[in-house]
Order: sequence, then structure tokens, then C-alpha cells
Amino acid sequence: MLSWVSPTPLTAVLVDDHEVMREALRMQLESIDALQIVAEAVDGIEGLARIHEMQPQVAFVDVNMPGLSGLALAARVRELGLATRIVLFTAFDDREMRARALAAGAWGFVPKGAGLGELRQLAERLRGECSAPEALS
Amino acid sequence: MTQGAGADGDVRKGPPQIEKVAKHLFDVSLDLICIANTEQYFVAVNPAWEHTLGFTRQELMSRPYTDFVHPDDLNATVGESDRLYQGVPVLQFRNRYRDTDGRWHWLSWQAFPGDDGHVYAIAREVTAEVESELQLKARETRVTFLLGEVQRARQEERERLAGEIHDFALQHTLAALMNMEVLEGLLHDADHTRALQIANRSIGLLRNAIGSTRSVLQGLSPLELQKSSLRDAILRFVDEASRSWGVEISCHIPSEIQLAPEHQVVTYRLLSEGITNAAKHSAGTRVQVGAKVEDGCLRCWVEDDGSGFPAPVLDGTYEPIELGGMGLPLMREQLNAIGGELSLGVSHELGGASLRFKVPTEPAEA
Repeated sequence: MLSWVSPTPLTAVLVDDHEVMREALRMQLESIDALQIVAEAVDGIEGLARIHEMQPQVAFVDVNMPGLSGLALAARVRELGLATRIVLFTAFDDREMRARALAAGAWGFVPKGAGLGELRQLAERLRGECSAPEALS
Repeated sequence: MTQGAGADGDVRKGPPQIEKVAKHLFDVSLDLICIANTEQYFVAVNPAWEHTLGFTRQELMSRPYTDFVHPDDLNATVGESDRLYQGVPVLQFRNRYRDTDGRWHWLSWQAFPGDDGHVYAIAREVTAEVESELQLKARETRVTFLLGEVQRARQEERERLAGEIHDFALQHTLAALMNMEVLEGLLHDADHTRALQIANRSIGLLRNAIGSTRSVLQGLSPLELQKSSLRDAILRFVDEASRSWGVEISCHIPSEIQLAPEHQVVTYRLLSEGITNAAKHSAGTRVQVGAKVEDGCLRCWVEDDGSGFPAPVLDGTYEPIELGGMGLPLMREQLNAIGGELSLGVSHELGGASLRFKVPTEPAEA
């Protein structure tokens, strides 16, 4: 099978327990053509359900959430063998948290408040990976 | 006691007989002197026993001395007796003996095995000393407990502040920053209508962040109380909370409230926590705040029309650490420290949560 580049944006789920943060993230992500938000969830448990149900290509997930944290959600997605790539968001950007995020199976890690330029680059990298031949298998 | 020579120098008595002196000392000693046999009976006790315990000497010698010993000290007493009968002196031993009124007297013992198979012992009453030691130990235990409580409360407070700042001030500020990023793009694209919407939204977010930061700072140190009365400080807090969280708050506080300064601080903190909880977390739209002086107490309440306290909180089976931030344990602790009381229930008028507490108008006696 030859590679095929999707002209459509990547489907994304947004998971954050803070409403104002979901709203701000939504506005940021919606301004990026490469992404299309298909669902939102207010905590980790609902987020896992949405991801399982909708199988988005990417999920932007807050780290600190009641019930099921972002790290636990990332680990659960990996255990379930879902193809959704998890990008963890947190208000605290530190090396240890990045390491923990990657160890939990997250695809990426972005500090809240990151510039749109950084998010666009991340979206392009995601699209590149998701449209690679192995990603279609 | 020896008797010296007479004035004329012709009368001189011999040295006193030791048995006679011993008998005299035995009779007048304030210490409890006794001789016991191997069957654990006293065979001789001095009058100090009668004075101390109230039993006659006949009563004391008519049954095993273990009958007078405190049950908790019995094993140790029998153990020491066994060691004595094996020839080992007892130099430091304490146990309790009962008197005729049923009260317990702490005795400190020195005892020696005699050549004749008896035990010769002297005991001194040390009840006051032991009680002082026990009180001191109880105080030390209490101090250790309180230090632990202070540590725990400080940790809870740190966690509460971290949570408060993370969940509100930081999230709102970050959201405003992210909006600005989008705004920049919209201005670049000349989408002024959408840019205006987002600018207004960002202003709202920053206002919330400022309100939340002020709330945290006021909780840390109620500066308001330093520059105004308790009533005015609460009214300002109510006004701020109403604007920040968009709920209707009615407030009835007496104009004259006489409270000790530390009672004012606790009252302000609890009312502000209660108001914050009702305004931010109750999912209601109306809040009533009030206070009145009654029966030597300032009675305060915060009630709302929200979802109310969960049943386990009301029936006391669960006391959440998080309740508007401060947490119920910390609220109770602060009130207990000044002789106040906290109660939770259902608001009769509004149907939601009812948080009530009372604070004595006079400082507690030290």
C-alpha cells in the first residue's frame, strides 16, 4: 500500500476538567486547520470513554484531573491498544513530568499557555505520523 | 537519743539500746515500714500504714498484702516479692495500695531479704510526685499531638492554597494568555468581530483570576480586618464574591459586633470560606449570609439553594478535606480552639446546604 496523505484535518478529543481551559484550548486548536475537535470530556473517565467510542487520531488531555489523571488515561489507552495519540497538557512544565508523560505512553507533552506556533508544529508532526504508511495498517 | 551528763556531772546513762531506738523510729516514722513473710502477709506494720491507708494494723496483717495492691501492679509486685525471697534486694519499685476509701496511693519501695526468711521493707508515699509525672507526661503527649495537628493543618493549608491557585488563578490566567494568542491571529486576519469577543472573554478571565487571587490572599491574612470592622469586611467579601461568581448573595450582619480579635479572624475566615463554597461549588444561584448575637455567642450562617451537602457529610460518616478550600476538619479545629461549634444541615428556606457556626463573644479562659 502506498502512502496516502489525508486532506481532512486530524480528529481530536479534548479532555480537561476546567471549563475555561477547555474553552481556551478549543479556540486555540480550532484556529489550527490541521485539527478538528470531535468531542470534549470533563474528566479522565469520560475522556477515556469518548476516545474508546470515537477513536480520534489525537486526544489533548490535561494531566491533573480528578478520578483518572491524564497519565493514567494515557497508560489505559496504550493498554487497550487504541491508536489514538495522547498529547498531555499541564500547567507545570518540568522535565520530570515530561519523562512521566512519555513513560505513561503519551505521544507528546505541551505546557498550557504554549504558543500557537508550537501547537501548529505539533499538529503538523501529528499529521505526518498519522498519514505515514505504517499508521494506516 | 542520748542523754548527756547532768549539771553535776555525776549522772551518766549508758548508750541507748538499739532495739529500743529502732522500736521508737518504727513507731514515729512517716515512712511505711513493714515486715512480711513468705506467705505474702505482713507480720508487722508501723503506725504510718494506718495513717496513710486508714486500715488498722490488724486488718493489714489479716490478709495477703497483695489484696491491697492495684490490679495493674499485681504481677510486678509478685515478681518483686519472688526476687526478694530469692535474696535480691529491691531498691526502686513503685506500686499502688488501696486505702479504706478506695483511693490509690503510690508507694516507692526499698526492701531487703532478712536472714530469718522475712522481708524488711520501707515504703514512701509518692502519690503527688507520680501524679505530677503523669500530668507532665500527659502534657508532653498533648503537646506532641498538637504539634502533629499543627503540622497536618499546615500541610492541608498548603495543599488547599496550591489547589486554589492552580484551579482558579492559574487556569484563568493561562486561558486568557491562550486567548490572546488566538486574538493576535484574528487581528492579523482582520476578523475584528471575533477578536472583540475573545478580548472581552479574556478580560473576564483575568478578572476572575484577580478575584480568586484576592480571595486566597484574604484567606491567608485577612487584611480587611485591620482596616475595617468585621461587618464591613464581610460585606466587602460578599460583594466581591457576588461579582466574581455571578450569584445573588443577601447579607444580614449586625452593625455592632463585640468579639475578641482572634474570634473575629476565625469568624471572618469561616464566613468567607462558607460564602466561597456556596458561591463557587454549590451549583446554586442564591446565597444567604447572616449573623446575630444570642446567648453570649455570635451565631453565623451561610445557606444556599444549591445541591446541598452529600448525605455522608450530613450524617457524619464522611468529613471531606475539601470544602470550599479550608476543609471541614480545619474549620472545626479553628472553632474548637476558641470554644466555638460548627454544624451542617439543609437550608429550610433555600433547600440547599446550611453551614452554621457559633463563636463565643468572650475569649475562652486560659
